[in-house]
Amino acid sequence: MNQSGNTGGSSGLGLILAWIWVGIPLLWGVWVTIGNVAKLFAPAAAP
Amino acid sequence: MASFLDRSHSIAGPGFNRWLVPPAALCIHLCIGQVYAFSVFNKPLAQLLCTAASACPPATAKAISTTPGDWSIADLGWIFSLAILCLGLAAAILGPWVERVGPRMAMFAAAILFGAGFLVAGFGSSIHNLPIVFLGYGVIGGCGLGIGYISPVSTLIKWFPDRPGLATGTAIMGFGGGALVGAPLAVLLMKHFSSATSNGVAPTMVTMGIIYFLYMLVGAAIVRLPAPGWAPAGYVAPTESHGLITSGNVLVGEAIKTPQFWLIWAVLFLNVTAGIGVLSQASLMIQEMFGVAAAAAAGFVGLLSIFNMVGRIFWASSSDSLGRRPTYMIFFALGAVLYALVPTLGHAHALVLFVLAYGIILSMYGGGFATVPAYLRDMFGTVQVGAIHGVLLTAWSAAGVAGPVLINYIRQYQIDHGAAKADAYSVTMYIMAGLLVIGFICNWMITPVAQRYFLKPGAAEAATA
Repeated sequence: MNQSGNTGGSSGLGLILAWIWVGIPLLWGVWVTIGNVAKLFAPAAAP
Repeated sequence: MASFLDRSHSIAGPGFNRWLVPPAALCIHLCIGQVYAFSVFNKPLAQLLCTAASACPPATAKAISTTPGDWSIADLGWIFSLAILCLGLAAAILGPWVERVGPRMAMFAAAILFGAGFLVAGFGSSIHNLPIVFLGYGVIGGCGLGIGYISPVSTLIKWFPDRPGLATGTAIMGFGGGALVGAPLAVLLMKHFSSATSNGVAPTMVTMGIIYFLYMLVGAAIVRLPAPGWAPAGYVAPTESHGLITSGNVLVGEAIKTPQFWLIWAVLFLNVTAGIGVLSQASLMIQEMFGVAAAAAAGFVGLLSIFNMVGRIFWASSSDSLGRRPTYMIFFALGAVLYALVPTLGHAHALVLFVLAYGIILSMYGGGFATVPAYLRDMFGTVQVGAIHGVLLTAWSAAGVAGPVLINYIRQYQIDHGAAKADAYSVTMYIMAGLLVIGFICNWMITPVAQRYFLKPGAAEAATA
């Protein structure tokens, strides 16, 4: 069986760029959503 | 161009890093997951005519817009339903084609269809023609959804034979995350394009179609298939079946003849029916049970989306060590308990526990989607797992209709018979718990596939050639 490790010739930079490409919009979406989630608990926190 | 998309031209060279494949899959799933956020367009689409006349009165209990000719929310609801229906049909019918042409061609086709769906829907809304919007987002976009959803699944399973749950969970997590990106993106663009006589929905749809098309193309460019016989370092493929994990392969035509396939179909259907029914009513439910404002209810829905997304990777990767059947046992047993507890938590006004219970329920809803490709791989092997997964997604289409109908009908029946709005969800929750008990039994009944359905030794290579 033809075996190989997890990393190799296709550069680590390409790997980082690929994960940044998908990570930034995903984190932005999570950030905006968490901002909205705060509204759910805001009334409970008020005196 | 055509040769670049060929299966033969997408085979990885030596040293290719397999961790490039999950982001390629995420490029597709982050885009098509936007379907869960389509409701962000409902209100603007329902106010196209009154906005054009600069005369939108406040929404009434019955209608968002009272201007003659404006579309109703009930009519617009069909766009999402059509998209999910076409997702299931396209995945089921085109699954074998996706396996044959490989992931790059399939992702390219998905990008064209999903992007074109937005363009056609944008055109339909610009001329206020609902059938064109149905055709665009519902049918054309829905077919793109189906092809896009299954296109990276079997590729990921082939790259990660040692961690199939983690791999497919990563991609399908992106589908859950797509709504988190799609909703604020649409809001931003509509705000940018809006004017005194337009709410900007048509140019927003066109812009999103172009953005999603280009973003998905990056995934198609990155994705690679492993060379025949490739395996990760240190991985030894099992030569004998053990438990529910087979070392053989079943073709899609044979798989659908097995009782195991239909039991997994029922498992997915019941898990999704319970979850989607709650998702469709989550905003209204927390407003009626706890009296929170609409903005806070939107926060609740957002939180459920995060649990839905995180559950996909958490449960799917956990299933690699727990096993697929025990993972679904947890979904159904814990889910049934939590559904049964929800009315009590509502009556006790225990908001934090209520939110936590629903968060866990939604994590298992997402986990059910993300774990099922690895379950299929365990039962039927890798050769046509994408096509088998495609047929299985008809369970999603069926649940997409059954879940909301069930929860809406039961709620309305109770209100019509004198139940208070805040109490109208109790029976529904108990019925959902009952559905999960049935799901538990279906999952418990799953046994290894009979030997007669498997390909003969050596035939698997011919089937993938």
